[in-house]
Amino acid sequence: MKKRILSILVYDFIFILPLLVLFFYSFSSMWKYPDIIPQRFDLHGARFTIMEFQGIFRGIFSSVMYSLSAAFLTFIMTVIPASIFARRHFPFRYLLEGLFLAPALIPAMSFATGVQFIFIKIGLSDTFPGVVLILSLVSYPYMLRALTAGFQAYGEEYVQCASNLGAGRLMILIRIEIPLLIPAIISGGSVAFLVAFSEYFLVFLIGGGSVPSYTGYLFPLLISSDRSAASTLTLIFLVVPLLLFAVTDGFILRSYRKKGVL
Amino acid sequence: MKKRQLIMSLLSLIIPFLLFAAGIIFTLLQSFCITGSSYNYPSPLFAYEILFKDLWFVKSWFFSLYVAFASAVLATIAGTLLSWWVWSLPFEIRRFASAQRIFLIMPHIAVAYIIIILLGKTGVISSILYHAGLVRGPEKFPSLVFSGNGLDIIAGYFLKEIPFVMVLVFGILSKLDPRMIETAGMLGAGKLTIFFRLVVPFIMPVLNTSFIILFIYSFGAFDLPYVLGDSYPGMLSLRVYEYYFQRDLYYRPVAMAILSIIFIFSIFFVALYSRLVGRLSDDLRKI
Repeated sequence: MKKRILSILVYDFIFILPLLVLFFYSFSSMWKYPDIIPQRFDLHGARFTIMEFQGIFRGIFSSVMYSLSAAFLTFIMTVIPASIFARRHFPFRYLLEGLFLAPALIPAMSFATGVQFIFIKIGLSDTFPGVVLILSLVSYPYMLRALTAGFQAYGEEYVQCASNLGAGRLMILIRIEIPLLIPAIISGGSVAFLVAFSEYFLVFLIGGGSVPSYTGYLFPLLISSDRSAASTLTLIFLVVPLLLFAVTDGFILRSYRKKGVL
Repeated sequence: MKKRQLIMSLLSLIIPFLLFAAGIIFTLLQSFCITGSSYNYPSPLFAYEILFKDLWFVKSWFFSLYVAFASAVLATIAGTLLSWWVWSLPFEIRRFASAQRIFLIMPHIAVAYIIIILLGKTGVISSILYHAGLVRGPEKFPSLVFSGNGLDIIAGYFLKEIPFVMVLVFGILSKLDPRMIETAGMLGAGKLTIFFRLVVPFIMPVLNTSFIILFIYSFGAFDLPYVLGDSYPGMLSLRVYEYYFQRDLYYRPVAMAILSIIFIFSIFFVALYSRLVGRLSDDLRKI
């Protein structure tokens, strides 16, 4: 047992090592070869973050907003089709399902450039809705997959029962199906959010600089020589989705407890 | 279910899918020099002629194939071995082996940055090897980053893709009955026999799926190679970027031609993918 715990520690350490390196760089702008641990620590990274707070905040805020909107939009796009794919059998079902998953598989660049051409013509290029739309286009397949699995996880009997008791279609969706789907919505939504939040190229292409993004803010720093600032902001990058997941988890748990489910 | 009813209920997906399809069509049209601009091109195949005469493009093509193949194979193998190791741990301590998830949330551009600071000539690993007495100085450390040999891109994708493979493999391993393993053990199968004769065949469909997803992704993705910035021969996506943004608008069809070729190549792979998915039973399909 002791050997196993030791091997788990080694395993975790290997994946945490890069974070540790980022952490050291954040608190030392003078980390030089061949020091394994910086000789001097300073607050350059923190100072940079405070000085540039406005730009950083604008990037994070915009990124969170378009990623949340994209995750929400993918839910709207996929919820009814997912129930069909989970419950109904019809000819060419697999082919159709595979076809609908294509935007996540095919390199996004190959259709995003064509979509940009269309967006320029219809005035969606360089706008917030345009960015949300292109990001939902690449992330809806994950939501579709998660919701289809979610619908498959419980039987159709709940719906039939509610229907027999006189509930309408909308009532069933809001009171029965969505609460049962919450775990699937969260897992699909997290992936959709992450895909959108981490994307650099698509936001740059469709947003064209007028839609600020955190990746767009971070990029020039990553290739600059200011490793201290770059590392600090990379760590901040990880904090945002973690915070969001903690909040949703807490919120969902609380609401479940209130209902006495857990 | 009636056809019209089916179309109505899939409508919310058909609309974005049409946008996707229209995007592809406009990419294809522009690759044949139908750009709606006032430029005159010698022939509709102008862009493709430039590409196939250009040795750089051919080199980039093979380079991208190599990088995508190497990273997808390595990540699938490493992800499988690590998942199997974690899965074999006693249940109570299994959940502590989960630090790989850090790389699930890490964006590609940040992974690329980590590769630079870890694997650079004066990077952290080079420093550690120096202190261990294995490398005499930064000039003796092999060129892994910015050297054009693709090792940095492969390392980046490898790191980023391992946790993805592990998510998929865990999903299917949870369906594997532990009693099967016990029985095999009782019948005298060793650890290796159990892994190769029982576990690998059981998870094979997921391995195929993950390989194809990772291969296509790394073949056409832009973010990670853009930060690492190897220019020669460089990934295809960097060629596209160059023709699309950095050259005269006149050369835009060349970018579109590369993208069209990438698209057709990917379709070929997606067809393979959906065939594999079709073969998996309903509840096993997690992605």
